[in-house]
Amino acid sequence: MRKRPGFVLLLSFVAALGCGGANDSKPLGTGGAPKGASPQAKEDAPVAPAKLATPPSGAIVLKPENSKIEFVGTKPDGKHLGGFNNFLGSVALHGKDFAGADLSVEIETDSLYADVPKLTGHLKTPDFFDVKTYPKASFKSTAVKAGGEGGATHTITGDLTLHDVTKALSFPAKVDLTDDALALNAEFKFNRSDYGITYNKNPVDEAVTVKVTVKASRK
Amino acid sequence: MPPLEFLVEVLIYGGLVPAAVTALLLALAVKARPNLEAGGGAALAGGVLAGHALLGVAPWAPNTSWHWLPYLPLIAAAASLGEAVAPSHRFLSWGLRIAVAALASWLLVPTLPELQETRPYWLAGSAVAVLVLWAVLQPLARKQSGPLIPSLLLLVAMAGAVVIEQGGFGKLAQFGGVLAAALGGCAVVCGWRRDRPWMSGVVPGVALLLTGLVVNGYFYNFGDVPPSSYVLILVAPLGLAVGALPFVRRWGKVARSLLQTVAVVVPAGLAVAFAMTS
Repeated sequence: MRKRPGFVLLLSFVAALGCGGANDSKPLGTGGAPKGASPQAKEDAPVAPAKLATPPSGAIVLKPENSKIEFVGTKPDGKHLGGFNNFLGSVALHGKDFAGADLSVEIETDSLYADVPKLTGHLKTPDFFDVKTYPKASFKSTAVKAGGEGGATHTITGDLTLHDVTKALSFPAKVDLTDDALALNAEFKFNRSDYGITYNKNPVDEAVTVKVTVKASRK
Repeated sequence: MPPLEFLVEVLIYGGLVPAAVTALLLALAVKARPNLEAGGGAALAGGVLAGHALLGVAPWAPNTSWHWLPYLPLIAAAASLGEAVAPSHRFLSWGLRIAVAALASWLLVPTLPELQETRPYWLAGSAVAVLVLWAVLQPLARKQSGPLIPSLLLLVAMAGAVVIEQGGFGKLAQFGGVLAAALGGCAVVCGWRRDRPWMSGVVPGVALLLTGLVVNGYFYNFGDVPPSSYVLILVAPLGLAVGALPFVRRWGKVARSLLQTVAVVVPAGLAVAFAMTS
């Protein structure tokens, strides 16, 4: 009788699938999605948490409790809202004015959420953010100047790193800096294909809008 | 619902063109070298690369595991050619298969941090899956000509694409669609020329691509798709082997084909059902 080791060998592959590897890390417990957001996919397919850089002492810390980083993706028949539940950043002031400040933020890409649960998962795949390969995105300012378009108080220039691609960009921001708090509202767009995110250019628009909101205490 | 323009683009670039290129190359292989089964491997590679070039699902220079998928049929075609040149050397043939399976696994299993500890098992498991599919399907394809085998493999590839799409990975699902389309081209030629088993050169590429799709679909599953769906997609093509069972071989052709169809469609259908209802 002819032996059939193939089926035995296939069992080992099935066993490997059963053992996991893709889904066996612990879910994250940081951050909190805004109401209406859908972070379920984060629990469905957790990724090892990215280590975010610790902010320098004395700087204003930007974190999900006092800030929001959201994005809007558009397509011909509508748009989708999303954001990130886990990020850590800092604003280091040099003097009393916001101009000249050093601003940086690191985002854990796996903490993203979208307004549709299934979209949350899709955005995490290599079609878009590829969170397993690129667990972090970051922004680091290179210049913050007073004045800006559309009633902005300042213009922030810096490097956005996404998919290991770093590109310089500039955007206006409305900043209210008091002795007690920092409030910042900014909105800018970037072209996803500049960062190698090229999935389906026809139904999903190239430009992605990012909204940053900060209401941080200085104490 | 995606725009019509997008759907037409995907259907033409990812469906019609790969099918037509595969059919054309296979037909040329049939005409030029009717005794060279390796032409099937080259035809599959041509169709898959055509779809890859037009859809642009991955960069030409791979920088991650699933980017290697378009090149797998080329590796398989080279292996088929090697087997065609030295068909009687059993050890050489198996050595070649093992080498190809090992290389494919090395390329296909992601190098993700979460796999640091378990990657050796995944490499072994993936190589085994390639070898099993290859070893089971090729003897069948050598004995059974006609469009049934490519048609059923097409259904499996389509089911795989649906499962992967349910996991959220659209580009990989499109690649599954390209494989299905290429197999559609094979089915047309195999239906036209039933005299010889042209699929025997195609199945090594199918074994590599299907394993690569399933492994990467599983690792980049950000939906609720259960592991069983991925396993069933790999197991489904093995259903063709029921046609080789001694008591089934005595059946009439229609009954045998019907049983093979059920044995393939049921696991593939279950895979899709599990993925869509989870």
